[in-house]
Amino acid sequence: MRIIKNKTLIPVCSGILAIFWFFYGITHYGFWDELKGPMPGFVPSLIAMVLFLISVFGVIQSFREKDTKKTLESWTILLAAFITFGIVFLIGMIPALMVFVFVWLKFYEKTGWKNTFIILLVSFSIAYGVFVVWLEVPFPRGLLFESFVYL
Amino acid sequence: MQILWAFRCNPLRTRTQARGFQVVEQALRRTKMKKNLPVLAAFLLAGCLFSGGQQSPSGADPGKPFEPTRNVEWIVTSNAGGGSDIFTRAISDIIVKEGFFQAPILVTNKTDGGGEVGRAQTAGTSGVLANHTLLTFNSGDLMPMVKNTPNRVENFKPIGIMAVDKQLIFVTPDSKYKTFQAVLKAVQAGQKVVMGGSKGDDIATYDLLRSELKWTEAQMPFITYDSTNDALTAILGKHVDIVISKPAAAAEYVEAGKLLPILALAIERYTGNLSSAPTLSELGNYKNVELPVWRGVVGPAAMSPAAQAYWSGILKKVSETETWKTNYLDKFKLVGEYKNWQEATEYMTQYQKDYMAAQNIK
Amino acid sequence: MENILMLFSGFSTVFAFNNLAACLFGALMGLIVGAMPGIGSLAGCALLLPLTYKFNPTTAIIMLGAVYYANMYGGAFSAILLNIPGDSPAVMTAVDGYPMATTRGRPGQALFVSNISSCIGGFIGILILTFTGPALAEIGLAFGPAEMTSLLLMAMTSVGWLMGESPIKGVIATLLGIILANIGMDTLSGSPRFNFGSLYLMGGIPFIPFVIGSVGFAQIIKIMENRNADPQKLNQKLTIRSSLLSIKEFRRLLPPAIRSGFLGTFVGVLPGAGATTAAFLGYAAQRPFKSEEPLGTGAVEGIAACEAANNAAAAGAFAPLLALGIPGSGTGAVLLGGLIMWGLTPGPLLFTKSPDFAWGLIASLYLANLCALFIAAGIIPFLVKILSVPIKLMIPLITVVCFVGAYSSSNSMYGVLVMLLSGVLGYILDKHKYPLAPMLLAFVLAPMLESNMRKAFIISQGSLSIFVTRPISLVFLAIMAALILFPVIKTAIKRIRKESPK
Repeated sequence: MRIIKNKTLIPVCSGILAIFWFFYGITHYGFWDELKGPMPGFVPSLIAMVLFLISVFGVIQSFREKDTKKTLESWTILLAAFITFGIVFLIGMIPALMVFVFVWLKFYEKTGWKNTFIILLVSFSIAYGVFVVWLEVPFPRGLLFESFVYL
Repeated sequence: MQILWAFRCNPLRTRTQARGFQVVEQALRRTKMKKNLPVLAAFLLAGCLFSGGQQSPSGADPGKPFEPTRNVEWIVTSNAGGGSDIFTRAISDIIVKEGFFQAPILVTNKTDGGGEVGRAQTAGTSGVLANHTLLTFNSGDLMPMVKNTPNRVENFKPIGIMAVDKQLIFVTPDSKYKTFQAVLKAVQAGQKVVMGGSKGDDIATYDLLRSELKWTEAQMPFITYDSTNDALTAILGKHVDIVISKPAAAAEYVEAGKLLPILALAIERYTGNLSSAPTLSELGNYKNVELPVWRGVVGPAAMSPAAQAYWSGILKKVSETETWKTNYLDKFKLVGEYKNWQEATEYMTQYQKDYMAAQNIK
Repeated sequence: MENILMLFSGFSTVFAFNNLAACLFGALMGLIVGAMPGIGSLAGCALLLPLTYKFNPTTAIIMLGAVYYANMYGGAFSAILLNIPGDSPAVMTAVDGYPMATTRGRPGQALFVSNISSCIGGFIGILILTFTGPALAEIGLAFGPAEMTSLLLMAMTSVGWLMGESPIKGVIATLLGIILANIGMDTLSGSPRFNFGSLYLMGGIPFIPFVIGSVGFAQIIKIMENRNADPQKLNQKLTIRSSLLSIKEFRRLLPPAIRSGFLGTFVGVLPGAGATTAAFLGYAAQRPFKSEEPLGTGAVEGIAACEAANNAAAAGAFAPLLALGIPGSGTGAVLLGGLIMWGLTPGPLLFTKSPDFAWGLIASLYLANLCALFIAAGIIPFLVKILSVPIKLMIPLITVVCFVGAYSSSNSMYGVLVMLLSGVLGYILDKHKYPLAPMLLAFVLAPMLESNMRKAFIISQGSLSIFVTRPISLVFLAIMAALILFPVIKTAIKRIRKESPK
């Protein structure tokens, strides 16, 4: 049996963060200056102090709660998004996103060709048509494009 | 044809890339920040992931005069519509209009990390990209960069300085202090005078003024606002006693009688409606305080000397156009003062040295 | 009276054909740009600025004014339909708008509520601007660091009303928001804080990617679980008529919209505050009032309160810009830059030197407001169809929008990384029923509060007296004390009443 359950995770994390923030803030940025009043570390350490106290209450409260259901499937989209994030550096933003949409719909969701292509087309027209052509956002073109196509 | 080029040059790529690493590493060694691993990591990330890998090597012979052969990326570290952005777009508009060269110019706003990311990326750019990357670089960019990061002017190839600006101190007409003598007297009598101003340049000038007058921060506290406009709002609402500002931002208020210039932070008085403000030496046994605020352009350290000279020449041509004078300098009340790359290198290096000495940065 | 005459001459300027066309075009562009996440009114105006060089200054500023204005409408579209705020002022709209569109199945009404409230808020703002003109700007000037500190403190304590079921969770979320906002450059000392040596963190966590991630992308992670369910059953056919509001609903949105209209105008005039702050405060101010559904679960009042506030603030922000040449926001700064480019000098002399221009602009705001309302109303029936697309097809599409939106806000992959990470954070918090709204509110307000408080302390040399010796500041502190004590006293009285019969 796990000692720390999901429900306790957030207050425990925020408590640890608060302790770290408090000491880092006090030691690096100063608390109170005679003439200028609060220093850069004033608000962070003060807030961290309160956060720590509240987190303790949060941990206590969490014992009375039902634990949430674990759902691994939710994380697949996150995993896919992070992989896409990496691919952007290789082949550029727009191609990476299109590959993501295609692979996701066709191989993960097993969508039909028609719907896959409609969604591909819609996402392409938003990402390329609106953001690139009209708003001129300079998306990364990726290593491949830079080294082979360009000069 | 283009693809062939790329293939032929490809084996060289790793070498130029390595040079990009070296530049960054040297910078770190020079500034003795090597122990600070996160900074090193950030620099490597900035230098390599985002731009370091994007280059293929320069094909130009060293002796041949440089000519842009691909898109020119002009990096601006302020938001669209900010001062640096207007400056850059004014120059690039003139270049396009006058047809100084044919390659397209892409102005890119890189505001991450308060602009430090854009500056670090530019410093580390290498290969053919290095000759086609420009960065708008002002005194207001140099100061936070030197103060907060190990990046230095030496990591860039200065191309030119286009304009300089100076500051004045203003009060409202119904203020307690109608002249700077009154301010001097008040402080000597033990009162505290609160000064408002913007970041970067204004703080540096404030420090210089304070050290000349030999006042402590308690005698004349400084409140940093996000922008000159915010500082002017504060003095119009009488939340600070005096305000430091460049002439352009305050001129309209002076004309409307809402602000009064009381001290010119310059070697000589201003002309026009700002001429009533004396310089510091007129008020007693002080030296004049002047810290020029400059707007310039730099390239990456790996930029070839030929390219550096070429860009410097383009800026010179821009500075000589009538459009530049009427549509930029006059409109923003700046003093046009073109410096070529040699002069700019010397000037920026000296400026950095003075700033580091004043701020005790080693 | 003089103002009204000037306004009418302004209207005669606006009704020239090219100005009218510019206004319509600007409104349409603004709606689209506003609905695109990551591209806010700042980028929108900056992007369209070069287009206007060829126009005369009056036409140009009318178009930019319309873009700026219609943005506030457009931002709500993606907030309501996709739970991704199109721009930062629309953050709070998503809180009630998305539940109303999905769980309550009334997307058309949600969009109409947002549009009509925007229009009401906008009109209140513009009317105030017309009648007080430059004088309005003077109110903003009275707010120095001490006044702003007390005002923001008051606003932050009213966050208490946003907490939802568990106060502890609400407070944790709020404090987390403040802590995340600590990261980045500290303006007053000019040195970085909590950046741990990273150049990227030196500039802080960018707000837009943070919002797109913690609200929008977190939503995607969440709906992965039940993505194979049927698409939202919309309880009516999607026509203009079925999307219209009933008279009862119109009556419901009216009081919050009017209240927020006044509040928003006031916030828009304040130095350093903008439409986003106004939307947050408008929403927070709605808490003490009753609504049919609880706020946060799709209440008409919630949408109305924040949408009216942000449009009113957009109008209010014009007051300091026109009267004093002080831009109240980043977008204001772009407009200011535009004015200078056209050879006009905004500042105390603008109303006297070029009255045609100044009043033409104010008149165009009335027109822009109407244009935006009609264009928006025309496309609502088409927009709501988005919700009948099966969820599993929407997942990759919205992910794409999150990516491009997060990238575009600062043209860097750092934005995308922030978006993904805050998506994880938002999902985990939401999963354990931690409310997101207080976190976002604290993220925006806390830095303003901190810098104003520290400025006030520099002025007073570390003495607290500055907050009570200034009358405006004292009033806000008194209201704050009342807000805190009121619930305490109320429960105390209840207890006494309960016990007394015994």
